[in-house]
Amino acid sequence: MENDRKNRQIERRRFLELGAGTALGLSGWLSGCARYEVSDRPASTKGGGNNTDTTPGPIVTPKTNDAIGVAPLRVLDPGLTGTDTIVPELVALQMRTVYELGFDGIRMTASFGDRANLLAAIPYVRIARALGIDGVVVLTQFSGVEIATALFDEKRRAEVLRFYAHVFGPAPHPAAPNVGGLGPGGAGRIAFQILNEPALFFGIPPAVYVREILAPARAILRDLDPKIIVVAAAEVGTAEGPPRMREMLEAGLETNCDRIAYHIYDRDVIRLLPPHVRGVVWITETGAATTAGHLAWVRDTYPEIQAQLIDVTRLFYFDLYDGTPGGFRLIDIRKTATGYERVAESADLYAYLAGRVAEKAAGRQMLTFDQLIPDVTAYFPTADDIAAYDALGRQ
Amino acid sequence: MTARWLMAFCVTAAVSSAAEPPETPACDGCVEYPLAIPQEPDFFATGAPFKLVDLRYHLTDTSGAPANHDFLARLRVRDWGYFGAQLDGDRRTMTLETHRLDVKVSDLGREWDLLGRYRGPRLIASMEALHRAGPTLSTVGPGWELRPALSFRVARDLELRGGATGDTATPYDHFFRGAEAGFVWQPSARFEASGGYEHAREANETAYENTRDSGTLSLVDQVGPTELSADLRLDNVRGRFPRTDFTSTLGARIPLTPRLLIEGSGRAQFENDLRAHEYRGGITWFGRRFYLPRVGQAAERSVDLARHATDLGENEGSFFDDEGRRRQRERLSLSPRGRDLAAEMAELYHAQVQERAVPLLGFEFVDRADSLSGVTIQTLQATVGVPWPIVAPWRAPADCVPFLRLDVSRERQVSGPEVVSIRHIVALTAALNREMDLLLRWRHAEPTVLEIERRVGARTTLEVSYVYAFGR
Repeated sequence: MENDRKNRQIERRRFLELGAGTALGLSGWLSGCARYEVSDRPASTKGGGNNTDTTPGPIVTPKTNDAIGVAPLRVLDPGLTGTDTIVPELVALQMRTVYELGFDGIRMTASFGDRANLLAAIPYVRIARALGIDGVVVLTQFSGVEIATALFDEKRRAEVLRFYAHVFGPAPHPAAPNVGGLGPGGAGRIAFQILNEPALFFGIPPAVYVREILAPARAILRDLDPKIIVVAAAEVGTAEGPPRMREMLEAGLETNCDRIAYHIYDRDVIRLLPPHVRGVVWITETGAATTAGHLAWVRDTYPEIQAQLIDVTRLFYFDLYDGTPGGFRLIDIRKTATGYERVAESADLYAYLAGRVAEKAAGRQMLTFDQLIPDVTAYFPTADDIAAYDALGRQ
Repeated sequence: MTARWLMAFCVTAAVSSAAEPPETPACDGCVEYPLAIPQEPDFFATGAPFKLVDLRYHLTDTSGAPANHDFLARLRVRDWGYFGAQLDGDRRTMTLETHRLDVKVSDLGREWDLLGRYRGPRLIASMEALHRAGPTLSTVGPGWELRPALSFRVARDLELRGGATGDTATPYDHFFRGAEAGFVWQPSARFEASGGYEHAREANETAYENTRDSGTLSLVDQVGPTELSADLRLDNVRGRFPRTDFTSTLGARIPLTPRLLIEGSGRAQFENDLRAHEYRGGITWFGRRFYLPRVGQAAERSVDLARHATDLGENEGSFFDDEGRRRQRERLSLSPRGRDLAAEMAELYHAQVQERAVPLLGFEFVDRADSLSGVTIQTLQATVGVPWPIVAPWRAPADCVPFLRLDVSRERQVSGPEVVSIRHIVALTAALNREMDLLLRWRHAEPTVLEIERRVGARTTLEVSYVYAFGR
């Protein structure tokens, strides 16, 4: 089965190579082809041997467990909710977990219009990239429609995207020479996902999203920084999603982004999604709604997704931590007398992921998070970041 | 300049009408209108040289947008045919209808719509050409879309139809874009069936077009006092993202009493699961006995007229609505054999008058949802009618006619993150007689979430409309 999957991967790359050389008579088609980066680590090979740190001495934790959604948690104390406070220990706790469990990507919402939480996303993304972990920043918001209003407006769109590129675009220095990222100098790459589930959260029909939001946003981002990977929004991960994705694809999604995204929360949805597209697919949200189903989802549903949707190179587990016990979250975070502690609420899945890391490390000593990132506040928002956000203003 | 030319025609028609002996308002078989008209229109009256048969004006004025004027005039030119001209915003349309030949030329900038149709004793042949001035998709450039069509009346009650579509822009290197075949069977007033098959190529924004095979079937059956209807459609789309859609609409209209009608319909679209639906339910109380379209003398006489006309070589189907019957009478009045049908045309007209609907009070509720867009809409409409002569609704006499009608509706749309937008519509219609209406409509719409994002605010629209339709 593994050989079949690899053979399909090879066939798909050859198809894309042939397709790139075929005269199709469509003027924009070739120039708009999705940037398939051969260096995207295929999900199935992450347990294999082609990303092992071979430097002598302690190694960086092997990135063997794909990617995960992380919330920009900045405070647990309700009394601090109305402030701009970012508690360093919370940032360190989440990112330590991401690093130790061998994730190679994080997906985080930088909620436009929510100043405190957007600024809180900055250290997470920078730390991830410093550890060689890719960062996907979702340009969206969970209440209100300012981001969508901005992206519809030609002038405002450029301002907003310039802000995000300015703050999240530059790559930090890698925390160590062997962090093994796919970005500049071995740091993690940066990707922007343009909105999230646009029909559900913003009432934007699929074709309108591709034509009037995604296409112009990508054009601007390409001019600002070609290294920014543009990820299209996914639609909902239930039965309503696949027809909307199909509408997006027929409206030209493949030529207007660098990564196509799906969400999958129902196994029945897998067979409804297009099994093959012209481009690379990321599953930017997937998971089971209750703790009891977590391990089976990763162990059984992930391979099913990869077998059915052969263009998938990355899956983002939803999610590391959120405020709902017994739901999607992998861990709980509790305040203690001395700080904060992590509780592996999804114990089976946690152990499974940790086991895969240990197996991949094969007994070698691994650098700790604190050795690589001794001071998380070094990645906190700077005065320049804050000024850039405040200059953007609210409209 | 065009407007002045149209006005000149209308003035001429008005003058020519004024030159005729004044018509004495008469009781239309004991039916009186607020504005009297002859008991029976002279369907064969020729223009001298023109007779005005249609005059319509519709003004739409929305806050924050330029007002739109839609003006239409149609004249009967002696007994040769009908000439029409319409100015709807920037669109200009001219039509010419003779006994056998129809021609239409419509232009909006460089977007042309040209139609020519020949109606023979058994065959109707038409060609429509639509010009696209610019690309509609990156895969569909400017060009002409050509739609030839043929229909053949196999028997008095059975018509077969066929057509094709070609595109000179040759999207995906294909000129031929589709073909269709269908039928219409009207064996009696109480039953009608139609259906068809279509094969079409559909362009999109990818390098691979879709092909769609569709089958449709529509049925209307008057079962006792109840009208049942069904529309079924199956679409099989092949391409990179294949799917099969099935849409069914079932409806029923049931007179609970001679003056009380309940009706309901449900449309459901399936693609794996229920993807979209529209459910309607309504109840109406009438001022006099209500006749469903396929019940009563008008329905029977429509069928008789169509059959007799077809026997005389006029190739006509049966119509069960006022406008369709009116246009049929216009066509037949141009026929050399038309006078042979004069009595039946008059009988049909009288039956329509006798079976006129006079709504007094009605309510309708509509619930719609589409999971593709994520939008749900609920609409509640109420109708209040004041008949002529004006009396209390429960005392409406059998000879009353529609006069004033007030329609009020409230629409609630939910989209996106549970954003609710409300639309109110209030419309007042004054029917001066069967041929002449005045309409005043006010609409206020809150923006949907998509409109908010596009910075479109609440809008208020005022519409004023005048309609004169001779012989309706």
